[in-house]
Parts: sequence; C-alpha cells; structure tokens
Amino acid sequence: MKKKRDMLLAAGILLIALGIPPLTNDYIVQVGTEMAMYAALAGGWNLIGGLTGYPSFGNVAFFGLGAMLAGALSVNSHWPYWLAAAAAVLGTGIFALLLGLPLLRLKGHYFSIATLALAQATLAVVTNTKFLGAGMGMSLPIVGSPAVFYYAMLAIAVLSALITYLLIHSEYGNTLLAIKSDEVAAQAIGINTVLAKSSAFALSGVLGAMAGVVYALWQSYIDPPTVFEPSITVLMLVMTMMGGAGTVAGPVLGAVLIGILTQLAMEVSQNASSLVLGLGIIAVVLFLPKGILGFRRPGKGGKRRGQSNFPLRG
Amino acid sequence: MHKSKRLAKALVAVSVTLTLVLSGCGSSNTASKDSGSSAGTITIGAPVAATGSLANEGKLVHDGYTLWQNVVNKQGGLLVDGKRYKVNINFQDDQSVATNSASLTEKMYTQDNIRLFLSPYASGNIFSATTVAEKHKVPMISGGGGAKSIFTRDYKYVFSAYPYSGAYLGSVLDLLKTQGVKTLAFLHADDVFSKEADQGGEEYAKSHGFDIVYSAQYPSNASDLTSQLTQIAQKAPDALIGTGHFQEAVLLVKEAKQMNVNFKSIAFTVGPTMPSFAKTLGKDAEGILGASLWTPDLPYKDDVFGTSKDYAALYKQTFGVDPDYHSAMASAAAELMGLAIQKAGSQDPQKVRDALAGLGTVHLFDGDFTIESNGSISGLKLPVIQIQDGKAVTVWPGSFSQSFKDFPLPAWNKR
Amino acid sequence: MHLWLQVLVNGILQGGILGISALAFSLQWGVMNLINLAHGSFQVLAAYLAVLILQHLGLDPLLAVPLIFLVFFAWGYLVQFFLINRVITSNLFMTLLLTFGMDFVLANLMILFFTADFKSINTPYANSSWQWFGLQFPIVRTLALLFLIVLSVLLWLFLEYSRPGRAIRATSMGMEPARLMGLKIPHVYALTFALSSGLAAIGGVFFGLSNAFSPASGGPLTVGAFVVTILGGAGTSWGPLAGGLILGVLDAVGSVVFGPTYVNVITFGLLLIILVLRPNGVLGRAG
Repeated sequence: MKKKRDMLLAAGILLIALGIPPLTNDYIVQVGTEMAMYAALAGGWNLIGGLTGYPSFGNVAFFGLGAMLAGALSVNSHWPYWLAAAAAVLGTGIFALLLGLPLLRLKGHYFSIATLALAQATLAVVTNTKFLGAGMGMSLPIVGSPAVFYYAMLAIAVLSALITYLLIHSEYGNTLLAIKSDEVAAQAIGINTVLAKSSAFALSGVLGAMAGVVYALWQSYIDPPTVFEPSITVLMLVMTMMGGAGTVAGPVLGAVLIGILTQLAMEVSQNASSLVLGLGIIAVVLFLPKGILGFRRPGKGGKRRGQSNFPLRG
Repeated sequence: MHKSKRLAKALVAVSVTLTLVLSGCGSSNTASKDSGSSAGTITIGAPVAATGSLANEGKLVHDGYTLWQNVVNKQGGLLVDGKRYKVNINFQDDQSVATNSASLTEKMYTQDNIRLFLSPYASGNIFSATTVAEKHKVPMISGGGGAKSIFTRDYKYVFSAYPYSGAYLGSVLDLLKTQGVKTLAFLHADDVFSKEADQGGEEYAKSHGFDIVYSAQYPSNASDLTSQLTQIAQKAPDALIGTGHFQEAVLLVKEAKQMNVNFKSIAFTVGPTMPSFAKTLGKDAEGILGASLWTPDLPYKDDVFGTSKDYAALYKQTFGVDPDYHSAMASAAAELMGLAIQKAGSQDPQKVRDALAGLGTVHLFDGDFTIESNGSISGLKLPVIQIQDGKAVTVWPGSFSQSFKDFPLPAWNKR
Repeated sequence: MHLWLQVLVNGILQGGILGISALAFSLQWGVMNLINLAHGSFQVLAAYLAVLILQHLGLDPLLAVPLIFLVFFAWGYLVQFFLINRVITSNLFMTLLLTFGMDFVLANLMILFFTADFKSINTPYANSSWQWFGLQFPIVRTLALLFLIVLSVLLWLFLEYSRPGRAIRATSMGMEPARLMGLKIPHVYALTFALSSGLAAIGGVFFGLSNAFSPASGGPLTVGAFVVTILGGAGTSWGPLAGGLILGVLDAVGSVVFGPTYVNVITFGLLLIILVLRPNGVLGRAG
C-alpha cells in the first residue's frame, strides 16, 4: 500500500516538474534547473554519504572534473559536445572508482578530510594543467534554451533518485546498509565491502560528473574556482541531511527547499540574504534534527552509528 | 503510518503552493513594473554582491552605479528624446556566487521585465550573467571587470567600461622605465584576472627591454610567501610586481619587511588604490606603486559628473569615503548606459545595443576611450598612484610624474 | 645554503601560525568528535575584537590576549551549552550542518558590523623581525611559535593534572562511562568548547597580526586547521605543534623546489598518501 502511494507521489511530483517550462517563465526554469542540478548532486552524495555512511567532503571534485574535462575536450580538442561529455563522465567515474579503493579504507572524519584533500588536490592539478585551461577558465558556445537545460538536469536528478530507489530495494542496497551499520560484521558474513563501497563512490562520481557536464554548457563559462567551490559539497551534504539522509526523496526535498530558501532570502533582504540562509539552516538543525523525512525512515538498517539514546541536557 | 500519510500530503501541498507563489509573484511584479516604466522610469538591473567573498568590491560597484542614478535623478532624470525619465537601478545580491548572478539576471528579465543591465563584480560572475543577457539579446555593460576572455566570445550584447586586465601594468612599467629600472620579479595569483594582468605585464616588460629575473604563480589566498621572497632576494631585482588580491598585496609588503628584502620599487595591480591599504600598512605602505584605472586628479570631465575632482567630492559627500577606481569605473559603465539610451532615443534593448556599438570615442569624467566592435574599450590612459603620507597620489601619466618620489625606496629598517 | 636555512626557518615559523590556529580545532575534534566548520570565523571574529580593543582601549593585541581569551571562553560556553549540545548526540552530520550554518551567520554578521573591507592589526612590531645568525625571524611568527609551545604545555598540564581537565579527558574516551562516573557531560562539553574557543581566539589574534583579513577569511583557516589536525592527530596536546611544523616545513620547501603554484598539489596530495598509509592519522591514536 505504502509503496503504491509513494509511487503516486513521485509521479505527481515529476508531473509538476515536467510542467514547469511550459507553464511558468524562464526565471522559474532557471531556478528549477539549479534545484534539479543540486537534487542530482545531493542524490549522488546520498549514495556514499547517506546510504553507505561515508561522509564525503570532496564530491565537488567529480562535478568540477566532469565540467572541466568536457569543456577541455570540446574546446581544446574540438570533440562534439555529447562525445566530450560522455568521455568526461566515464573518465570521472573511473577516477572515482580508482580513488575510492584506497580512500574508502578510511573511517569517519578521516574519510571526510581525505575527500576534502582529494577535491583540493584535484583543483590544484586542474589549475596547473594546460590542457584543462590552466586556471584561465573556458568559454563554451551558447546553445540550447533554458528548457533544454532544465530537462537535462531534471533527467539527471530523476536518474539519481531512481538509482537510489533501485539500490535501496536491492541486494546491493542491503549490502551498503550493512556496511553503514556494522562494516566489520558485514565483512565477517562474507560481503565484499570494498567492491560495494567503491562502486557506490563511483556511481556518486558519475552523477556528479553528469551534472558537471550539463552545468558547463548551461553556464557556457567555467573556471576552476567556481566548479571546485567547496561550498558545493557542503550544499550537497546540507540538502541531503535536511531532507533526510539515506532516503530517496530526502536529497530532492532538501535541494528544492534550500533552492526556494535561497531565492526567498534574496527577495526578502537585499543586504543579508546569506545571513537569512544561515539562520534557516540552523533552525532546521535545531527543529528537524533528523531531516524532514527522518522519522519516516523505516527500521531498515537500524540506528545510525554514533547515535545516542539520551538527549544532552543540563 | 497515519502520521506519514499526513506528512506526505502536507509536503505536496507545500511544494505546489511554493511553485504557485513563486510564479505568482512573478506575474504580479511584471504588471506593476510595466505601469511604472510608462510613467517615466527607466529601470536597469544589476546583480551585484552584497554578501559573500566579493562583498567588498561589490559594495564599491554598487555605490558607483548608485551615484550615477542619484545624480541623473537630481538633474530631473535622463533626457531621452525630449522627455525626462527617472532612473531606477534594481540591485539584487548575487551572494558572490556566479550561478546566482545568472539566475538573478534571468529573474529580472522574465519577472521584473528589465531589459537593460549593468554587470556584477568579478570576471566569473560577469561571464555567467552576460550569458543570460546575450541569450535574451539585452545589453549588459561591465562595470566590474575586464578579463579579455569576456570579449573573445563573439557576444553582441556585452559592453564594458573596463580596459583589458592585460593592460593594467603598462603605465607602471612605463614609469619604472623612466627611472632606469632594469630587472623585475613578478609574483601572481592563479585566478583569471591576475593571470591575464600578469601575462600582459610580462609581455609588455619583455618588449620594452626589462629583464624578468623571477616569475611565479601562487594559489589565491596564500597565507605565507616568505620563502618566495627569500628566493627573490637572491636574484636582487630592482622592482617587485605583484598581481593578486588585496590581502596578498598586504601580505607581500608585511613579509618583505619581515624578511628584510629591499626593492627600488614595489608595484601592485590590486591593493594600493584602496584606502585600506595605506591604513592597514601604515608607514610601510609609503612609496609603493599601484596600477590604477582612475584617480580624482585626472584632467577629464563630462556633463553628468563634471570633472574627476567633482566626482570624487560628490562621492565623498554621499558615501563618506573617498572613491577608488572600482566605483569610478562602475559610474562610468552606468554613464555609458545613459549615453546609449539618449543616443538611441529609446530604452528598447536592441536600439540601446546598437547605440552602444556606435558610440565610438567617448569623453567621460574617467577618461577618453573608444568602444571596440567586440564590446571592449581601448585608449583609456591608465594612471599610476603612489602612497605618499598615507594618501594615494597620482604619479603617472605625463606631468604627474613630477610628484613621483621615494626612488629608490628606503630600506625597510630605515623607515 | 643560506637560502635553504632561511626557507627551513620560514617553514618552522609558518608551522607556529598553522599550529596555533589548529589547537582549538583539534581539541573539539578529539574530545567531542565535533568538526567545527565555524572555526575559521571564530578566529576572524577574534582578530576583529583585537582591532577594536587596540582602537578603543589602545591595548596592544598581545597584552589583550587574556581579555580576548576570556570573552571567547564565555561565548564558547554559551554556544556549546545552548546550541551545539542540542544536536551533538543525535548524529555526526548534524553538528557539521549546525556549525556550517553558524559559519554562514557569523561571516555575514561580520560583514554587517565591520564591512567587507580588509583589516590588519597594525602594531609597530607587526612587520619587524629579529636577526639571528644572519637569518630573519619575524617577531609575530616567532612569538606565535613560542605561544604555541607554551599553550601546548599548559594544555597538557591542564588535561593531565586539573580536575576539569581530567573530566574532559574522561569524556573524550567515551560519553557513557564518563556519565556513569558522575560527570555532567553537557557542562564538560561546554567547558571544552569554551576552552577551545579561547584558544581559537588566540590563534585569531596571531592570524590578524600576520595577515590581512576580512569576514570571508575564515574558510581557508578552517581547512588549514583540518589538515594540521590530521597530520598531528586529533585531541592530543602536542598534535597541533607537530602537525603545524610538518605542514609548514613541507609547504615552504615544496614551494621553493616546485614553485608556489604546486603547494596545494603537494600538501593535499601528500595528505592523501599519508591518510591512505596511516588511516588513523600520522600521530593519531590507534583505533
């Protein structure tokens, strides 16, 4: 019953999303594109951070690398953009897979810092690589229309949610949840945790790169500091946590809410829109500490690690 | 179960409402703005940072645009085709984020029905905002940066009041040449603006007989450059030329003194022109050169602001601080927009765009320059400033060089 | 030869600046498993406070250090007691989220109060240096290293021998046992955050003396503290000193050998390698 209702809900939301370009204006479409992009990115983060329990601080590396690779291959090597994009996504996926193998041996905060270092190192290497523009940025031709980019980002966001859904309802998803609740035990019962984690990390990288290659063409100008901006990772994390980590709808909900909050903040206060956003985040943490969908979470996977039973009060 | 069902319903309701509210406030806005402009108002959009990492320069640009708006409105409005129109610049805070610059431009275009734009600050933000303007075929004038790559995209609706970043150092090098400086050390940050300015400077130096003995790039926000200064000291160049951000210019001066590395001259692209440079460094800032784009001493004038001096006085009266070139360039960009609207005799974006392209050589309070076919400008004579007694004094071009002093710079321990 | 000696000195002294900035971060991480993303903004705020004290009371920043420490001690206690304690047991991520929000709010409040203009704490000695053996020792950087050493010793003594210090150590080993021992955890946590806020503020004063800063300067400081803490190990009294020295010397030598543009490649690349080879930190505790 519940499953059916969720499906209807998802279909309804998708229908609304599909109707935005014909029914609204370019501004809503522009904001919607950004929301869809973040929904895709947060969904990718959720695979490794939410489902597997590895708090990545460096997912922006995949977004940035995807964008820069696609840009360089099309601008400098004159590949058609679809080919450049495919190569960039594939390359980033392999990059994530290979780096995931050693990095995913790390736990907790150490994994966080390692992924942060990964993003910073990738940025530094890109900035010093001539083929990737050597920090000068790249201009791509203006193509398409707002609706085209909106639908492209929406497709990636839907793909991201679909992958999450399929994972949660598969054997593989159970493996990831097992890793999250007790990795040692998972190993003991014969689960190949390394392979499972690395492939989740690679999937996360592929989704990030897909958003990156669309972003590059959408913005038509990319430079390393913008596409490797650390706050993009933080936003993925914030959105996922806000919506509910480890759920299908959580990242989407988080992306939409933060997106609306950002736009409203810019509307309400011209001088302090970032301040309003910060206060909003704090309010969510204090009043919705498990994410909006947090208490909807089924018992599956058990309690998160590091979670304690008693509240810390004076 | 019950609870979750209700929640799900609530969520749908919330998201639908929000979508409707967002699109709804758009249409109502459009209606009110329309009636506003027919009553004699010209609205210009400007997505400029008030918060985030670019808040500092964003405010200077904001104030530059605002000053033009105030002056024009005080004169009764902009005279277009015999009628006076009030000017209203619609500022939106892009939070220093490039995608926001784009989405705000989009928003002002679609919801607020704005058809004329002034740019945000910083190349990255200009890039994304101008893309939206180009797409909708509405003009945007850059009053916040001049990376060459903005103008090599064959855009037709993007104009600028800024010279190319690569041209910033020419005047400084001309000045150093007259003082017999031969050897130079270049240090630059790794962002687009700094790299372009440095490359332009190094090319100019080579073609003008200077000897570059050291050149290195450091990551933006570097917090320690002592070892680079130690290395430079071994090459003993006559002058140090730093192309980066304000905080790095301050850092280099502090550390050059700490490491007791002396130069005959020190020059920066960003830093000395801002009042806080001399305030921050005190007497250690004395004698340091800054590549500027405008100073109040320049002998130019126009009908809106009067002379450069008048502009500076008015700015100080309005905002309580002396203007630096960021504000002046922004005012000049806004003024260009005004000129184009007047020449077009209309605020139709296509006509204003064509008027901008056909402006040719203009004479503004910040100098004489020519609008090129790609939207950039050329011919602006760039001044050089020197910190003297805590103030920025114009020491270039031409006869201003009589004010140039402190050459060679006194050793750090003799200050 | 002289070049390399000076570069080594530069690196060691930069280690002092990096280490003193990481003291607080390391303590919060080690004791409460808290990653404080607002760490850098706390430090920048302290630098602004030092500027205000210098301007209005004419008190030298280094003499004002006890006062600044106390102000931030009190403020830190309140922040932890009323804000962070409310979520610190719920989920590892929530504290990240909360401190991220705090960072956002702090940075933008600073823009409102102090404008986005760059400032620096300017004292007569701020840009001077001592000369020993023909090498330059910038006064502020040298003092930062000395302060770091003294603070590390004091911190060690405090944690090892004082009652509240022992309570903090006991709590860092596990919240449940510490609670059973009768410790008031919320109070211990608030005390830890208060102490580390005070330490962060001292680091902020030195940052303000050696660099120009604006409300947006916090981010790189947080990342730097992150790296130093990993290199030195979280929650130890000596970790920040060790981590700071390693990173400082590495950056200085690397920037001369390969060029400053490769500093981040070296720093973060090496950090990755170290992490992979020593998954629990270079000098970190096992397990």
